[in-house]
Amino acid sequence: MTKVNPNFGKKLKKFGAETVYHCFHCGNCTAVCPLSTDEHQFPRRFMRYVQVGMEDKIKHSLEPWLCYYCGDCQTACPRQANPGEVMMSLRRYLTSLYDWTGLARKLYTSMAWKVILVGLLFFGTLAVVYGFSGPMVTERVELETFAPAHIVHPVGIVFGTVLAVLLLSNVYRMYRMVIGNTRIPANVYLQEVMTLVVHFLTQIRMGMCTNKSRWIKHLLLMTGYLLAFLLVNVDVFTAWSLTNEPPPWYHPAKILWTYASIAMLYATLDFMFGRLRKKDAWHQYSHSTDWMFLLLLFGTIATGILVRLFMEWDLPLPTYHTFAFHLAFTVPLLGLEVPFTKWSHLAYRPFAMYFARLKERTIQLQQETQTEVAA
Amino acid sequence: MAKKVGAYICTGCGIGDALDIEALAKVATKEKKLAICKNHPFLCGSEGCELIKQDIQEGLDGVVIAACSQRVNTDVFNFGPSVVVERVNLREQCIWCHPANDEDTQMLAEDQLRMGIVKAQQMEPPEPYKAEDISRTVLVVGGGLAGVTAALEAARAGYPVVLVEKNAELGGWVARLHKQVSQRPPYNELEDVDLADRIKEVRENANIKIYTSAQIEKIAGGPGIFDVTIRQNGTTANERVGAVVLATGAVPYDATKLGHLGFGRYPNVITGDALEEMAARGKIVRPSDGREVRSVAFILCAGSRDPEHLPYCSSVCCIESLKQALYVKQQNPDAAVYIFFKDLRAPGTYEFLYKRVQTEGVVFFRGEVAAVTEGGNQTLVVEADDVLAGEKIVAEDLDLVVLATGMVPTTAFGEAPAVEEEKKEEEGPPPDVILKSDILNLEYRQGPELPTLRYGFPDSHFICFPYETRRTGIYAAGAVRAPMDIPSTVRDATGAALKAIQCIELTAQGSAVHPRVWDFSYPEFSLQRCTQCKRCTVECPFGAINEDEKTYPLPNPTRCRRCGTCMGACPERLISFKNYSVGMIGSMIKTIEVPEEDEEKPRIVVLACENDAYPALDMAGINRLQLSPWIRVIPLRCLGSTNLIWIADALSKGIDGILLLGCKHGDDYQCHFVKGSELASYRLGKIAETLNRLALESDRVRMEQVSIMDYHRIPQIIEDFAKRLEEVGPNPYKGF
Amino acid sequence: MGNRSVLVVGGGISGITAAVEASEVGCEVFLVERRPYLGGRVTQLNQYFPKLCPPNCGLEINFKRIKQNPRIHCLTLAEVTEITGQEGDFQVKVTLAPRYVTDQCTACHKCVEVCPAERPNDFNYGMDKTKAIYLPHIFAFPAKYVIDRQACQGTACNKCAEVCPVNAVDLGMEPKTLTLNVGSIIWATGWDPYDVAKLTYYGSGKYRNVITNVMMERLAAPNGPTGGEIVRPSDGKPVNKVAFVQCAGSRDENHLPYCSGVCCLASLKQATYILEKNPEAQVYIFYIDIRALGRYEDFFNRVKGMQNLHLIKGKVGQITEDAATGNLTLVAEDQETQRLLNETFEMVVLATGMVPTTRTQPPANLTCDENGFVISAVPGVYGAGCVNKPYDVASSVQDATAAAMKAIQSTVGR
Repeated sequence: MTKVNPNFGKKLKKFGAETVYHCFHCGNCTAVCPLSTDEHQFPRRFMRYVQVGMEDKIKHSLEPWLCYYCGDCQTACPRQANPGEVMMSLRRYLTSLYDWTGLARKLYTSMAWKVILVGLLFFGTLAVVYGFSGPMVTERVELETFAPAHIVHPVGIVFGTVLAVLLLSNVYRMYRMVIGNTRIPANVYLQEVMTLVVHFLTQIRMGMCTNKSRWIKHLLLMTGYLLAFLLVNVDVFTAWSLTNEPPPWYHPAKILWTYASIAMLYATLDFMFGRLRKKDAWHQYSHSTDWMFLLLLFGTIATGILVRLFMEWDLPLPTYHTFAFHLAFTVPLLGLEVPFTKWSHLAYRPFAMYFARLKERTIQLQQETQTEVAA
Repeated sequence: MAKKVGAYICTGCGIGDALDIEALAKVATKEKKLAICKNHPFLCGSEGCELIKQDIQEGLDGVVIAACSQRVNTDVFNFGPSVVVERVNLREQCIWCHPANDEDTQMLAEDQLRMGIVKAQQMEPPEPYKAEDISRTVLVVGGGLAGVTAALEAARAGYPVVLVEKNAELGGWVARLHKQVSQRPPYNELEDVDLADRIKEVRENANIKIYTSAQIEKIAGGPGIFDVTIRQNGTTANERVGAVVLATGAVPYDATKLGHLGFGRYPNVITGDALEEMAARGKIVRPSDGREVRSVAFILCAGSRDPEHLPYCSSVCCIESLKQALYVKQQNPDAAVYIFFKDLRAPGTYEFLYKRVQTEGVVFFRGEVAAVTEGGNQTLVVEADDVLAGEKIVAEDLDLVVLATGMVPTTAFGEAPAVEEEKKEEEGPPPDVILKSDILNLEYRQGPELPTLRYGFPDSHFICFPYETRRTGIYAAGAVRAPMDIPSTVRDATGAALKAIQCIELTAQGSAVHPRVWDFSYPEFSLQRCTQCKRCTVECPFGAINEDEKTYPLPNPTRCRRCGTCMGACPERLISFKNYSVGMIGSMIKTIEVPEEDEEKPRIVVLACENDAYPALDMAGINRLQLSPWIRVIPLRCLGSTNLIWIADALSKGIDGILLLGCKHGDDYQCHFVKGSELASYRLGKIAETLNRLALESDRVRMEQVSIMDYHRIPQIIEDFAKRLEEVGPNPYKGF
Repeated sequence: MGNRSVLVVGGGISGITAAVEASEVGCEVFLVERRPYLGGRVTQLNQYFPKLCPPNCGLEINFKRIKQNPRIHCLTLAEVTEITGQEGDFQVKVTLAPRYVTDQCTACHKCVEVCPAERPNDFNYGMDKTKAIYLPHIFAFPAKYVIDRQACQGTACNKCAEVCPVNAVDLGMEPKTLTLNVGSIIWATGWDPYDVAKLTYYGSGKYRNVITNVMMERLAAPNGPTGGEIVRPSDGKPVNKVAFVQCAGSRDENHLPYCSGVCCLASLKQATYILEKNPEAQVYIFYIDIRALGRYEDFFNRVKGMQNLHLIKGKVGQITEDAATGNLTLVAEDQETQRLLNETFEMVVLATGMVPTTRTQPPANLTCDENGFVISAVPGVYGAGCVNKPYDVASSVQDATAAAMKAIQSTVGR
């Protein structure tokens, strides 16, 4: 028996579920959803869990991560209850639950915390950069001199490690919540690793949505980002492309960087305009963290591109300052988004698929054993 | 009796091509000795009509039109009230459903003409019954929203009104409501109940006489001449009124029967109307300690939609509870409000209210409430199966549980009168349910109140004619008639007021009311030979006939609906209309030519209800379906007017079978006179025995229930009957 | 005493009722109907709920009341084009479209036998054809034929005119305008079913075996295109598995935000059409709430108890058509069993909602809300029936009776 908890709905409002009470449970959303299945029914069921305040159910659910917010439910909803956005808000809520530091919750529910944390990291980064940077050579661009690798790289490695630890520890908490006491045979973990990889790299479920263009754009952003991430790391260890001398145009790294920049810039601008236009169902409602993410991302990408352009054009001072700002955007973007808010889904989504498969397989195996025993 | 009858045969529409008109005319002129028999190729045209009119000017007082069905050209062949018109259906029911130029078709046409002529000869133009001292006053019983509205609307139309209210104040149930739902866009707001203005207008209207703290002691008489005795403060007053609107409303279902929902057991379980009162007084608080509520649960269908309590849906509880949920939310937007429902019934624009209540954060639970219990500090706990979540849920810490109790009509109370001994013995349709609810106290033989349908509602059974209660001139309106919301009540009361003034106007002219408006005939009783058998008084579906001390019938013509059920019931054939009588139909049957047995041309008399079966036969013709050539159709006002003597007449004449085509009866009866077809069927049951005794097979008489849409079934029905008659063999009385 | 006459616009059940009730109190009534016959949408129904009785039964009585009543003047093929004046003294311009058949018509049917041209039968929602000269339906009142000039080949053909024994065909008939002077006006122009073309997720009206509830009435009617056989439009085969999709347009803020009030009961009723004829058939009704108010609950319970009737709490998300078989697959969340249903049906009936005609053609003298329902009137002009609210038949009749009362009040005491 579930206790009705009227406060849960109020709580979730802060995560963006503002219309959940409009739902009168016709079930249209679940019926039109291309991803909803008999085993994993949503979004209607989850509208209900929120209304009634069935926190426990939600905590242990994977379904919010199985929704890719194509907005079909929203378009079809006769009550304009925005089921898609409620699923989104549940992802925000779950992210805050998985996060043991409590920062995610603060970021999602408090404007003050958002502003202070972003500001702190932004200006802190600037302070560190200008405080610890090398001399600014003005005759020509010498970024390495301005930002000496022996300082930047170790800091970067430490920063990255911290983020990874945070994110993975949150993933572990997610694992505990959704798997609970289910005993999953060890070999299943290994057998299903491909699920994790495939979903991480392709977000193939998003491709099952009615509207495919979102998937393409998302892939652009994802591949662009992944590429940028890899290139930065390659550079950290090999100084392959990021040198004081701009490499020639045919340098493979440069071509890859160009792709990454354009892909990310296009996708980000498209998302920003989408949120302003509010035409597409998935852009009708924007949580403050959605804008926080997009603005930080845009800042990062724009400054990143500018840094490269200024280097090309041999403008030393603009290069250094822009680079400083590039870092000032990058640090809160990575520091806040990856472990605590929106960008954490890069881990939660594939892991959700992975965990779902683990559960499915386990049940399958149990049934097989039962039939064998029965036989 | 029409003294001078002329026959006019139309040869248009193929009649002239299909029939031997000359031979047909001979039936009129030679056999029936009519002075005038003319034919015309286009009788309904101006030339044809002119032909008839000229003859009328020369003294014709009866016209037989042998042409198309009586369903068409009614206005064309109307020659004024002093001329009797009889239509012989040669088109739809003769040439369109029988082969042309065929001996049998010709015989059919001739028989139809014979019957028409005989009928016209026996018809007289009716003289309207005009009661003396007709009152144009409308009596409205009940001073709630429906009553006040009906009174006001009738008065606005210029009719005096007498309004009787049981309580000291007008306003009734609705006056106790805190707010009502706005009926204007956006349809989701609450507004003050607009009853006070109406009451003020009623009070100020000189045409409305108000009796409060008063009750009806007695209503005698009939439409136009109701004599009402009103008891007020120990004195009585008499009023003569023309028509009555019954608007005594409904009361909430007795919540003490809802112990399973905690009522009576826990102080904080209250009914919806108690909440209204509380809201109207100011704050919504816990009855146990007077603290403002922070959490409230509404349980809908508390008693309604429950076979143990009220099997029907009370229509307004969903809306009322939505409204009350808003009261709570307006008092405290943070209050937790839950609504437990089965189906949320917010029709029409109430959907907007539903949405509004949802957006305020009220949570709805769909499913059965399993238990209401008490927790600590007199808080309440509601357990329910929630279909929407797919599990059992429990709502705790509730300050208040509000039961949306349903509506019970005021007519549902009171004892059913004891069934008289004589009735028990006799076979007959189940008597009307009349509960002694002490509301109208009619001096009617059948009982003191309106007959009720299921659950005590004196509702009309008719979809097309929702005001047709079974007591002429008495119209129920508002929640007494069916559970209804405020706008419906206003609408219903306005409509009922119209029916009341309409009844008065028609009665003043001597016309019947629905469904035989413009019928000025009425039954006349020749009581010399009356055996006081009480058949007419018992069977009249409208309670039009009282009895005197010696149990002689006392007809009330203004109550009469002119169906002729009494005429059919009377074994002594004492009841007749000027233009419709037992003898008349009997003569029609007797004038049918019955061929000798060896000719192998059986004859079947079809007694058809003129409202449904007769048009259905026409439709068979319009669809060119072929009918058995043996049938001879006689339209009846209602099968209830079937007198068993006609069966005897027909059989003794050698007619092989009699087929009665009437409306569906039973729970979903379609008979426009409520019980006509049912009574006919009971009477036939009685005759079966007699027939067998006369060595006549009871199979010769059959009754079928047909609707107006059964025209495609009718050929088969007749064919099956004819086949059965063939098996039975020819009527042995042929040729006697 | 002012002008004691009443104009009733719309000759459906509401208009007929208002006209008859007002005239039986003593008013002169002009009844104006756009179609060539009276009765409106109820003539196209097979049965009424909850009694399952035929509408023509009550209409027959009403027509009889009109036929016998010289105070009612019926104008068919007529539309109101202009209203001036005020309560007690309105001048109304009415345009009469030509019928091309005069009142002389005896409905002998000869013209139809010779007419070479055909037209889709709008009375049966285009599911069959009539000749260009036709009787709208067998119960049509007035029982006069009418010519569809769009389909008619005109004077070049002239066959009907030649064969008519009473010279009732007049192909040169012109529209006429007349002015009526009335004391009050009742607006009772009724409703239209919601346009299925807008229901894209249900196939936009393009799937052959997805029909609307109003079409279902014709399919089940003995005087319908199939003589009452309920068969699939695509191949004429009898149906064994049928789905009713409730709230097809209604209770949907993307379409009709209000509840149309009658569709639940209409579908329950139509389920009986199928199950009475074929008790083996499987009938599914997909719903959000079953809104069977008052004593309609009895009817709901009765139908609910029928074998092979499945009530599924869950709105249909979408319908897909199998082009080869014409079968339809529906997806819905069955909330009672908590399953996601994927069921295939031979025919699907959309319970399309009611749209007041005043939405598409707002009359000048009435104020309507954004959905087209009449909310207020100038004095002397009253809405009646489904222009006021989505009503069932009994409520429409009540409402029309009430409107007649208001109209009468407008004609007295001034």
